[in-house]
Amino acid sequence: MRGVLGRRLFGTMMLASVAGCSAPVEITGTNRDSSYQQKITRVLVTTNLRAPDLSARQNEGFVRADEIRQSLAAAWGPLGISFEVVDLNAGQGAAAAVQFAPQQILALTLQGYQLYKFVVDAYTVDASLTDVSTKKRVWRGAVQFKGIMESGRMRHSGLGGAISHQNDADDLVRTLTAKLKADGLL
Amino acid sequence: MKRRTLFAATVGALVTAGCVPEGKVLQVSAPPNAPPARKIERVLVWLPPQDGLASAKLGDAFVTAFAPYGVSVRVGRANALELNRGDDQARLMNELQATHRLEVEIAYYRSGGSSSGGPTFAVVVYAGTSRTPLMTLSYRAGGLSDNSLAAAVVQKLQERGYL
Repeated sequence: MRGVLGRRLFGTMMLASVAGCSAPVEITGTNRDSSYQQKITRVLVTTNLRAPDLSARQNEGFVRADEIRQSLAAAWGPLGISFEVVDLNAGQGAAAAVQFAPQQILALTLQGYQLYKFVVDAYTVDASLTDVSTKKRVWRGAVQFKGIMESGRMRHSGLGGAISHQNDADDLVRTLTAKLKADGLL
Repeated sequence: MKRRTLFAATVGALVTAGCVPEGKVLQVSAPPNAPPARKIERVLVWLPPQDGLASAKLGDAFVTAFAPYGVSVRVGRANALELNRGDDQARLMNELQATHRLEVEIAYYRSGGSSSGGPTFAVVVYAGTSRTPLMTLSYRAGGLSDNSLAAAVVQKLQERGYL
């Protein structure tokens, strides 16, 4: 058993070492409503990052709401942005949204995924920012979580079990912040 | 000998049939037992931006599926990263004077693993420019070239009295 594990770990490390070195999380495109002049100051972030046709264990490959919350606290706290994170997959939602009274809603929704040997390797997330008062979408971006061959990032343990995705969450928030700043929303 | 013949015949049939596996309706929701206020006469079918997962042939399949009911169909496609769909649809809705619109989305798509399969579609039918859904349908396609979604949607609309 130890031999099998060792070979598997060695193989994965070799694969990671020869993999491409593009950023593990990238926003490949954005679109914004140029008439929208407000900045993000109080935003509700909703996450819907689970695939209903995957098992609970396979779904552990996606970044978690708690990890995104932690990364946002580090990046947006110093900018003075109020935020709340709601995990729609955990049944949280309407009550928290009403109580928080956000000005904008940033929805992070799983769009597609790629498996490698039955575990999540790469996936795409739609990021949509909606203005609450007008109910209009004012910004949208496509977020790519790149797989091990492109970025060297592994999203599961050697046996497909759960691992932390705090690095994915940090990268997601870093790239989101940069794009939103570039688009004049932060 | 018989067994070998049977095996060869089975393999041959599978090879020559070359059929795409049919998709499956996962869920349909609509107001129960409520007769529709208006039948579908002219419909705008709105496809998702991913033409690799929802090809123009899917639009053609909707035209074919609605044809026996005398429904006029126009097919449009969403832009990638669209912001406000209503603005993008306005021209086609006005040209057609559409009584209804039928929006198709890719709910999600998987690749790799044991079976890639086809995308899972989310379909929503609305009256005119209303934002209130009349019927929603979730459908898993059998493969990338499986356009049976159109016939399944039209059948469900017919069952609910919209055609």
